[in-house]
Amino acid sequence: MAELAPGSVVVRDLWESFTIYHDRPVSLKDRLVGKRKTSTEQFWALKGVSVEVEPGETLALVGANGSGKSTLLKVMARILEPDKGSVDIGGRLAALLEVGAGFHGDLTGRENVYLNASILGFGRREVDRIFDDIVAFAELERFIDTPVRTYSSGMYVRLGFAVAIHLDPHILLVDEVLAVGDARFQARCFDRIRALQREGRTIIFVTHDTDLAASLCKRAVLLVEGEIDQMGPSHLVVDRYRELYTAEGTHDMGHFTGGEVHGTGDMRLSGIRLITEAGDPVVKVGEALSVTYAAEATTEIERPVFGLIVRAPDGTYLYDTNTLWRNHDTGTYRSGDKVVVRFDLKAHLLPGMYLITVAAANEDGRVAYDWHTDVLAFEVRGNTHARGIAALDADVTIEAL
Amino acid sequence: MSIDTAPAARMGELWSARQLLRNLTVRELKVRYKRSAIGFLWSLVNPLLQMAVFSLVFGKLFSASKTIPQFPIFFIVAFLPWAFFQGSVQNSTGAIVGNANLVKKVYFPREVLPVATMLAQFVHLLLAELVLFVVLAIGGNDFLPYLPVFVIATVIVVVLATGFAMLFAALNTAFRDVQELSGVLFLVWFYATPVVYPLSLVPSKWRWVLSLNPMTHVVRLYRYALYPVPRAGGFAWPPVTVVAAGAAFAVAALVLGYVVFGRMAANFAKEV
Repeated sequence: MAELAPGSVVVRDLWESFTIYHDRPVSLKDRLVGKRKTSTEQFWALKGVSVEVEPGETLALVGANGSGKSTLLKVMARILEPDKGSVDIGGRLAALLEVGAGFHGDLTGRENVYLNASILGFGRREVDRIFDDIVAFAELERFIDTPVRTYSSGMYVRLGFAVAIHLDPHILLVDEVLAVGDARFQARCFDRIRALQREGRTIIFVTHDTDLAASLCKRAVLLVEGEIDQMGPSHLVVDRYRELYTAEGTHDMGHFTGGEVHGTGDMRLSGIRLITEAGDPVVKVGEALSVTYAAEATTEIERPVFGLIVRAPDGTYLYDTNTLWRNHDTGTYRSGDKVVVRFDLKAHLLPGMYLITVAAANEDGRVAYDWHTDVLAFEVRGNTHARGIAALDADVTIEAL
Repeated sequence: MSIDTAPAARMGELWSARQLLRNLTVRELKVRYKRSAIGFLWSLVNPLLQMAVFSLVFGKLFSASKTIPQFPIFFIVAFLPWAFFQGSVQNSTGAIVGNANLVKKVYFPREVLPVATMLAQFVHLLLAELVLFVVLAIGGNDFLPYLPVFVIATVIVVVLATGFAMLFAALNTAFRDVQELSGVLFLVWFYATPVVYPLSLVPSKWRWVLSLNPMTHVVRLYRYALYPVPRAGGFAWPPVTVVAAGAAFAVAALVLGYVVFGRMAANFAKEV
């Protein structure tokens, strides 16, 4: 096959599957007598995706959680092998899927820079040339010979990012890691990314941030359930994404499809409902709404934890609460015992579409009994003269001096 | 560049990853003794302590030193390659699983992980052997002419350890039982290898069983190279059959380990 031009990526009819194990925790005794409740299921994360990226292009991959965008990035980075189809890469590629992958706490910053760079495929001499730039960018001159376990998380992230962004790959893959560090550091990261763009590097990144996608690149790809829904100019793709995941585009409001359900089944949730004043899943900004569900124990359970999570359609975590954190004693259950759990909320949210996850888990919240991700959706309406997520009710006053 | 798992391409990749190999080996060496008082000396103190214990238990209590002259030397000559082999394979068993954060987030030839573990152990082996050479020289043993035997034995045990390290590292990603089993496995394997006893002590009708153990040949070669005593006139060249058997096992282990590892590597990122 002819070698591709450095910086180009050609993905052809890519299929990628995962095996999901539904595995309930078993005791040693159960293991010994061979009682193991495991069932498996094939899940296709990518279903025939084809993309071509030109050298020097910046491409954003957008999509909801579980749409396959990170999987696509991992296949491009060769971390996963495709089940079917092919990925061809021209030139050298560096993937920044996790900041500071392979950093070791006991090694100094300097040692980790060289280690990290060699993991990404860059040699000692190449790093020697840019070492000072890396340290300066991370602003760690004073700490570079200190073990990284003594670093603050901010320092750690800065160093990891500085390494990746100073290496000189033809293609840079970035997964959602731009949302790190303080605002000033982030701004510098974007400056650096724009510089890489000007130098003609190919950049492919995964993001939930549609504004970012629209501003950094001309072209974007929207993935929905492992397939390309739309590919083209980024502002059009971003519009399509917003249309899909905000109220107008979603028909079955009460039950948002595509939510994932998992858990051991020691407790079963049913009748998961949204209660609003108007009766439909639409509330005004600041208005009350309630979520109720029935929970039935299928075995003996002590103090289960009932929880509720509210997220934005792009996955952003907005609110997470549960009976454990609220010190709410939920009591003891025998098999067949059933209760109704009710959460009363106020929608201090800006207009938009929001998703609710409900769950029951064990005593310390570590083992999910029954977990329904994004099972409900509701829309907040109203005019707040603001953008964003939280309804912070700003008042503006201007006084003449 | 296409995603390609052909052996030649994999070998080429491993070569281009030599910097990484070096760095990971150094990481393993540095991290291991980072916060211990005597640090690197542990790689010498450990085998010495083992030698002391085995000399006391077998040499004195079981009176092995009556039939085996210089029991401590007899033991340590065989124990050092054994410890290298066991250390390489046992530490490699968790090499992929233990580096899950790397395997899931970065691509690099996965072989690097077990091979780096083996190389770190190899550094310890060489250091210990150097000290042993000094001790032997002071004791007036003229082992230098037989150094080629030592080199051959070392090449064999390195190849053997690499093969088993890759095999165990790969299998452990699919069956974590490998990790649990390896403790007992290596205990049995240790006593099935003539480390604390000479092969001549084994009834001749059972010796073929031990000859199926690749480490038997390794240990015998090391004794030919460094332990002069039982042979009249000091050192002697080993029979070609021992070299051949050792080399054959080593190559077979490497091929097996390499093939299994190559087959399973595609799934590492999903399994760990």
